[in-house]
Amino acid sequence: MKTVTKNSKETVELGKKIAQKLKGGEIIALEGDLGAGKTTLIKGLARGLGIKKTITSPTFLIMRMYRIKNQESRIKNLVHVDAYRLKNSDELTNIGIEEYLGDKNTVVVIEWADKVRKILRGKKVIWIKMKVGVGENERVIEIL
Amino acid sequence: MILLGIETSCDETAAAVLEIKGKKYKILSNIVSSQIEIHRKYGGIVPEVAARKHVEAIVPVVKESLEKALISQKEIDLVAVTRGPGLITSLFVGVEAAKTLAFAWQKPLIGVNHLAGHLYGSLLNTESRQQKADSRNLREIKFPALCLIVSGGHTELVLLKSYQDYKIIGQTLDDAAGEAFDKTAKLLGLNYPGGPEISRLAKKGNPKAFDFPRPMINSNNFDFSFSGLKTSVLYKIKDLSTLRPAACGASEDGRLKIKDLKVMQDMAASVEQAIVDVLVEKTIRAAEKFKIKTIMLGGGVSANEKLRKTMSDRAANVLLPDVRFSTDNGVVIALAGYYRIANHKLRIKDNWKKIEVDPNLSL
Repeated sequence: MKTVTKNSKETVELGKKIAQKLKGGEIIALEGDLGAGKTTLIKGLARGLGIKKTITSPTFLIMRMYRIKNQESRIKNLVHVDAYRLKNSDELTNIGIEEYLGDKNTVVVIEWADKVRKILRGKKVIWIKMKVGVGENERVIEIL
Repeated sequence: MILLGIETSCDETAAAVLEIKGKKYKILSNIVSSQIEIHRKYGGIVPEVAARKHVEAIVPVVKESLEKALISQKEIDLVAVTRGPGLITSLFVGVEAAKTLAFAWQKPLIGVNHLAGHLYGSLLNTESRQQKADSRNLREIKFPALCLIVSGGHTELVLLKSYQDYKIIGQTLDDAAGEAFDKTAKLLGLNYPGGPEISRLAKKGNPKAFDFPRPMINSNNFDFSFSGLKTSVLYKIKDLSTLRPAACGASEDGRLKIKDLKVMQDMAASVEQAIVDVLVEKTIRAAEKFKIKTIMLGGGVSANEKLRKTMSDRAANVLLPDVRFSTDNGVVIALAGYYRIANHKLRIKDNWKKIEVDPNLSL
């Protein structure tokens, strides 16, 4: 499925829509260059999951975890990972990612996922490719 | 009181010995083993490499800090260590080392928030450089005070009512200011670390050549947003490639790249101006609202000359950290440890058991 969003607001909305379909245990892999809107999409996703805390770039810390307090949802954690600075998958193993991958109460979303393909091998992954569109602020988002 | 400060939250392995007597302080040693050269070739800090380098460096760095200070471990009253926020694998190295020392030496240990270090860094008075080992007075804060902490991982405006009573009143909603420098630098094909590279080019550029957005500069809060800058730089380069194809080319990673030096300088100057404008404007606005008497800067980006000059031009009583204390070091961690226990009695010996790493620690 390919979607073109016209501005960051629409990208956030798309993230919210994706969130509505999640049941827990999903791994979402994002691929796209600097400025492609990956963090923006995740802001929407987090909002859709009921997270009120501001989602900031995890580049510096590699991994940030957000708790979801909504009683009705099975999803209790959103783990936001950024592989921008990583050389390979082992580094994610070192910071304890395995504990969350596929956990039924957790949604893991990984920016720059193409850098850590190895850790995702054999797992069910929702792969999303993003790039800057033609018009100002446009983003092309392809869910594979 | 003599403190040993240990810092390993990011890419510097640092240890320092600091003596404080009343309002006077003396830096007995300040050892920083930087990994910038190592990370430069990867275009940024690689966490796994960082942790391994910390492991190699921590013992020699601590040892050297004691030797340079000409003291033995017996004379140390308190060990202070950064326990967060930062890279978990890097933080562990410093914290485990500090715990081991505290246990072996039977000294009290205190866990320090990395940001608290940056909060107090500008209190180290650095005017008379030649009298290096002499005691100096800590600069005085007139409260309420405001500290802008800006680095690769942080952009926070902190309101201080006293040395111990502070809270964050604004922060970035997406990318940190230093991250904005690093990532736009990457888009411009510059080396890591991006901030100093952009500043270097910006010196010869025209900051008005390109019009970059100043997001949230007029918003009614003290939060920041820098992620839009990347997009804006992307489009500016794209536009340029059609308007002035001769000035552009493709780089190895497939991105469009600016070839023309003048254009590059102008672009760098304009990016720097956009980031500085937002940081300064928001700080000044907060200063007016809270009737601030002292403005302080801290964190790696506070080494940026344009930011320092613009802030000093706009407000009175601005305390700027010495560039040595802008970037990560053990001295400010020791100082933060000092302020943390200043109002308490030292709980001796076994408290090393309680110190834990927290990569998401908030101020």
